[in-house]
Amino acid sequence: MFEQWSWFVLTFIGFVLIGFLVYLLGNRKTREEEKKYETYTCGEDFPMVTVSTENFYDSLKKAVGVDVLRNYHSGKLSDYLLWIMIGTVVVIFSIIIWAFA
Amino acid sequence: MLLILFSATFLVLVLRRDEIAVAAILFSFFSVCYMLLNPDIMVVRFGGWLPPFGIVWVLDKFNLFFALIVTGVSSFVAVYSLKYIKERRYRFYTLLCLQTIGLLGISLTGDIFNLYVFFEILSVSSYALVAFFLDKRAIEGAFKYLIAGSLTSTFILIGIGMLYGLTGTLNFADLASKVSLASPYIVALGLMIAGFSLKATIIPFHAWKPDAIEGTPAPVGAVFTTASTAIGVYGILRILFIFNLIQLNWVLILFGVFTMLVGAFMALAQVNVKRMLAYSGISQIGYVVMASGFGTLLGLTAGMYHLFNNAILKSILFMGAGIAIYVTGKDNLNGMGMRNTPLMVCMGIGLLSLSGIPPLNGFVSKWLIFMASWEISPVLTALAIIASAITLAYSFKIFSAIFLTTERVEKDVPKILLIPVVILTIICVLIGVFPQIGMNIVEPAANALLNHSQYITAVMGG
Repeated sequence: MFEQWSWFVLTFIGFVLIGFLVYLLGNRKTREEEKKYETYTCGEDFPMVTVSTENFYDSLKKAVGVDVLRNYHSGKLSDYLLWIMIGTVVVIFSIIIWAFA
Repeated sequence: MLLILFSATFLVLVLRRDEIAVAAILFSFFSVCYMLLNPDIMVVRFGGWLPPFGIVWVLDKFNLFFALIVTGVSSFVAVYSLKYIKERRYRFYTLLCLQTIGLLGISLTGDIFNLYVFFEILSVSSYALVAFFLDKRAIEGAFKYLIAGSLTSTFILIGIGMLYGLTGTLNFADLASKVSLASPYIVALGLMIAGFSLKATIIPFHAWKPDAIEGTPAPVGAVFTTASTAIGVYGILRILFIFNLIQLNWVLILFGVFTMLVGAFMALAQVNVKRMLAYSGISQIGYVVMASGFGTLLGLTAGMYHLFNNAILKSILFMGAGIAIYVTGKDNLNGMGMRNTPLMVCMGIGLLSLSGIPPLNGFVSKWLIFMASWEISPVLTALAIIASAITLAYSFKIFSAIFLTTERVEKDVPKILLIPVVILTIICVLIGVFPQIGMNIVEPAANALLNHSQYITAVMGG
């Protein structure tokens, strides 16, 4: 199954190294024209915005309802035990249905 | 092997020499590696009693594959903990030895009640290890694990009792030739699968794990998310094997998909690094369970390969995060910033591999899972890819929190903490580039699980 794989990976690594070399060559110190970068940012000053690591993906979490899942993980042992009991009943009934299907 | 581990347990406690435990665990790892070279099934009869009357240990490729995972992870953790654990280290190593005994015994025994005994040894030592730090979080986590674990242990015991009452035997091979799919057997099967699902942390049996891992030492977290969950998966597959039900199993597939996705989303939402890795472990077990449910050689190989890779990756990540906790004294993502280039490279490789980026070992097993799932339903492949994308998202979060923050702690990292992480990272890259290395271990194990009659003949007729 993996006869060609090692060659593929070695080629992949080779191309990554070539790419890195091209990147290094492309970043050689060159003379820059005055105000060269202004066209890229329309000459505006953007304030530096930082987001704390804890708040990464906050919008995504709200969009996909992760907060709902978090609410179910209440930290209460009685809830956990209820889940285990429900899970056990579901497993047993699923196996019964599957075995007799 | 087991006698040496038992002796080490007592000697560490009496002599307070941690090196004895490290040597015993390393010895068990190398013994398992040596036994893997034997192509035949080895059956060890205790006291010379013939099966099904006496207890037997069966060393086939499937059992040894799990033994390799548990002893391998325990070995790396044992070396790492020499520096990581600062106080009451001899107690830690006593418990680690007991945990290894439990894990190893479960994976090698051929007797279902003997399995339960080792399951209890594993559980009791695990409860104590969770509570090791003796602070509020540790004790609360240990208490939740103790209650949930006791409930599911009872399920397993009732299941074993029912099987013994119905068949009059406790030997796996003898049971495999006597069980049927009549109602009482199905209930016993369901109870035991539910029991092992707690160790495997399949949703909804998972909730204790993040709470327990949050309070444990980081290396213990590595054992919990790799070896302990692997043993849960082993239990489920072995029970299905006894019932000759290693075939397309939609129950496992659906539980696997649910676990994979919910685990990944929950990992995304965490702010504590150990909780995040715990949910990540739950999500990766979802892949394993889903692939095992396909019942094909490719599916089982893919699932077990991912279990093997997950053991390597989670060990890298837990031990790597452990170093960050050791240096910064914090385990919340905000405030864990540190500077150490070798650790950054190792954690970076580990996290990329976990997300399934080539050419690393995580990609190999995920690719196999995608191929296996495509044969069953392309929808499953799509869901697995979505879970992989979420994995990449939370991986960035961990990496950014530790290595890309502006406020960083600059302290030297003890070399003994880095060595296991670097070795595991090298293995991770090597398996990615030369996947046949892993296939040579995993494929015979999957074949052994599918070969029902060969196992019965080797134990009963040998």
